[in-house]
Amino acid sequence: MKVTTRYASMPASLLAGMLICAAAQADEFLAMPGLWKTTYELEGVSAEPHEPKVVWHCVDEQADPWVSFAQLQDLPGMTCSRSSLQRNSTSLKWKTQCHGPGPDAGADVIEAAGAVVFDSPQHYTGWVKFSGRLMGYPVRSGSKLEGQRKAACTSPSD
Amino acid sequence: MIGSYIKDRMAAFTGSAALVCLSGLPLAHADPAASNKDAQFRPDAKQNIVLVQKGSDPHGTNPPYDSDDHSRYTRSPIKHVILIIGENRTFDHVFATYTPPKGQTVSNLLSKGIVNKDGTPGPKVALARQWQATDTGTYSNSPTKTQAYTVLPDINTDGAPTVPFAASAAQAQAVEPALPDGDYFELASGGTNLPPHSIDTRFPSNLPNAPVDMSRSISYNDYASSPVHRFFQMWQQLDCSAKAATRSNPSGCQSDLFPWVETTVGAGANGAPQPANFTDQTTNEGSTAMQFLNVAKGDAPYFTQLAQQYALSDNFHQSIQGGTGANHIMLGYGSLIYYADPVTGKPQTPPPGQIENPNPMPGTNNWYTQDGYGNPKLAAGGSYVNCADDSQPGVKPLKTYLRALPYKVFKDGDCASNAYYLVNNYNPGYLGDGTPAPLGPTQFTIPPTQQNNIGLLLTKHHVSWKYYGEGFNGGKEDGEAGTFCNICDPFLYSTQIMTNPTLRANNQDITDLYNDIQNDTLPAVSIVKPDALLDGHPASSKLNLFEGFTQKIVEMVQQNPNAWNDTAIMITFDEGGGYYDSGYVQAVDFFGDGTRIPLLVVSKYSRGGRVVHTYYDHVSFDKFVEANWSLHETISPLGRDNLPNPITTRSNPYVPLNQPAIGDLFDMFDFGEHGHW
Repeated sequence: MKVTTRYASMPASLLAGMLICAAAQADEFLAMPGLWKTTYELEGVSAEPHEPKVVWHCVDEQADPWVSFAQLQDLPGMTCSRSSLQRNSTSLKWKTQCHGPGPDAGADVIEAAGAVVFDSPQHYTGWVKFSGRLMGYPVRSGSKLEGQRKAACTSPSD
Repeated sequence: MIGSYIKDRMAAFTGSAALVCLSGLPLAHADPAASNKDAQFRPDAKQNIVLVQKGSDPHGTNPPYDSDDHSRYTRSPIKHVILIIGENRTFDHVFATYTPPKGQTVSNLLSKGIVNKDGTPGPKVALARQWQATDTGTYSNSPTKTQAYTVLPDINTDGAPTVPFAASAAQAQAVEPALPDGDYFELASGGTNLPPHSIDTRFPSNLPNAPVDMSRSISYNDYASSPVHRFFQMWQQLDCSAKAATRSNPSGCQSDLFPWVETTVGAGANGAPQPANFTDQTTNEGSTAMQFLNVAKGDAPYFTQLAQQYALSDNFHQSIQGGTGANHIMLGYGSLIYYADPVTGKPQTPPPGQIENPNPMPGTNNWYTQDGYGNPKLAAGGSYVNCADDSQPGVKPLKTYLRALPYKVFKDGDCASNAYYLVNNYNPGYLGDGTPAPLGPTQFTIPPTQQNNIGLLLTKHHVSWKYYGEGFNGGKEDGEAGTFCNICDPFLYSTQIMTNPTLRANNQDITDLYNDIQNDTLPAVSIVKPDALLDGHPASSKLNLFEGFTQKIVEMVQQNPNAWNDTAIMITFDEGGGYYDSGYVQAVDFFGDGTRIPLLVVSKYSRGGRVVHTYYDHVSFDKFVEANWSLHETISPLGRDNLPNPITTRSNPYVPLNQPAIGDLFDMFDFGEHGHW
């Protein structure tokens, strides 16, 4: 995974939260319900190499694809607005802009963008990117994502 | 629910694509007039085994599973049993107005006068009267009743699909292999044309306090909503109280709180607070539980035909007061499984958010504190109960009830010390390919278990078996558009099976069953599960689809003379789905039983339309297997397969005098001259 790295001391947990949220879960549209494994790699948080991270999530039959694959909730401590959401039957693409939480909230702005594209109902690839300033530091990070359905998953209605 | 995914998927991607002879136990019916065949099979079992030596099988039906294969060493002429399990229908929901052949009697809504044949309330409709109640502070399995409903809450669409899952029969057939050719239109029709989670205006408002005849409002081919069917909710629905116990109803279960439970708590909220402006529609159910199909008006035609021609039980029960997963586990293990250390198999304490707490939240009437199928964001969804500890939420009320009964329940509730039992649905410990499933507070997956099960017992005794789960697809669990039911396969929970490639391979798909029927390679014991499209579950499926699934298998067996000669097909359900039922329920232990569910047995030895009244539950199937294949061993000392067969009187064949007791299903057969082995 090749990711651009250039910023300073942004808290690792904050960035991890961003990426985990973005990697997130799955859905109904043309993705198969079941147990999904999403792999992503955090880079750019520090000079240390990062192991690929894995998130397992259960996708119900009627899940919202935005919630399942492109969770768009606010980044930790920040207030976000959705500037662009595009989808078709096999892909999602989004942009958000987040403000705060530093003492000068107006100066702390992070643009987030991402996309996932399904090449089958059981597999997708995608990316997420973050850029801007946080607590006076420049922030730029991103990751490639890969999601694979691994098994069935229980449904709340059973 | 399969939801719009299936429709979309179909559109875009599919084009390409005796006897139990449990030694030492009290046995059989006291009533000599009863039709229990146990006695013919019980004594002197070794001499009575029907043997076909390997290599001498005239039909070549003895597959080479094992060099010491005992699959054909049986006490009856039945060499193969196929158990087909549908989803979520009580006996009265399906057979409410069934009239058996002359000479037979049945216990249902019609025979009790609760409804008339046309589905209207009958002269004794008060027997099914439903009540409102109050439960605040501490969970009660028999809350204080306040007043009977004047009219029932409106029925809600819940998750019933607005449009059907396929755009055409051809599109459905491209994905789904398990229906007769003429049935595929059913997957392309029957949508509600109503939004989900809204009042179902197909049904009238101001419904009288009585069971609701679905045929008066919708067609048999229409989708409808699904009632709650979770552990603590189901105990409340039945409203069991020792104070209400009578000679004919010694468990004191009154079955009179079905809509109240639906509308006050529904299927649980994973620890979330009760929503503001809460009404009797907030849980999206209303009085769905009171619905019944009307066979007298043509509903369930295939199952009615089987009942008329073969054998029907009107006293077979779901074994657990809960949903799909727990009931399939009970079938496979004879008891429930508990949260365990995956390495040692010893009981462990699950994450806090996964422990049930049915005590109502402060200020609410029956809104459970922690209960649900699991919400990763909240790391919550209570489904485990440590029932050996009376201080645990919800335990003491149930144990107090059980201890007050006029009989002793099984092993004081059958709760092992420090064991947190899974009483609802969580994912099994293994993926289909044998990979251990991810665990943790947000996964809602029970760790692998090392408890014994019927598959291991059969393997130990060299009797062949398979589990055919539609959509399994070699362990990828992605067949039929991803509708395989993982929680239904009892063996996906088992370390011994899933880490052994040979045993793991006993998990197969529906096309493997078809091949085994047609090629005379059926194992001795088969368990068959449809996918979620065809399992008959309300909302995500329909009963006619499960009828079609069953019909295809039955006819395939009947078309092969070798198979038909020595195969019994048993058709039942995982549970009643939360629908009302008027039948007697035996409190066996802490976990159940629950409501009656249908059981049909189709074989050469089950003809004539007999209605069998012997008390059974899912574990009766295990008892049948243990008896027919002379295993002389139960699954475990904790299993309900250790229970005796019922002893009954002529005046009340439904209630065992020696309860807790469950039969071994031999009453479902009449082996006639073949019975003296």
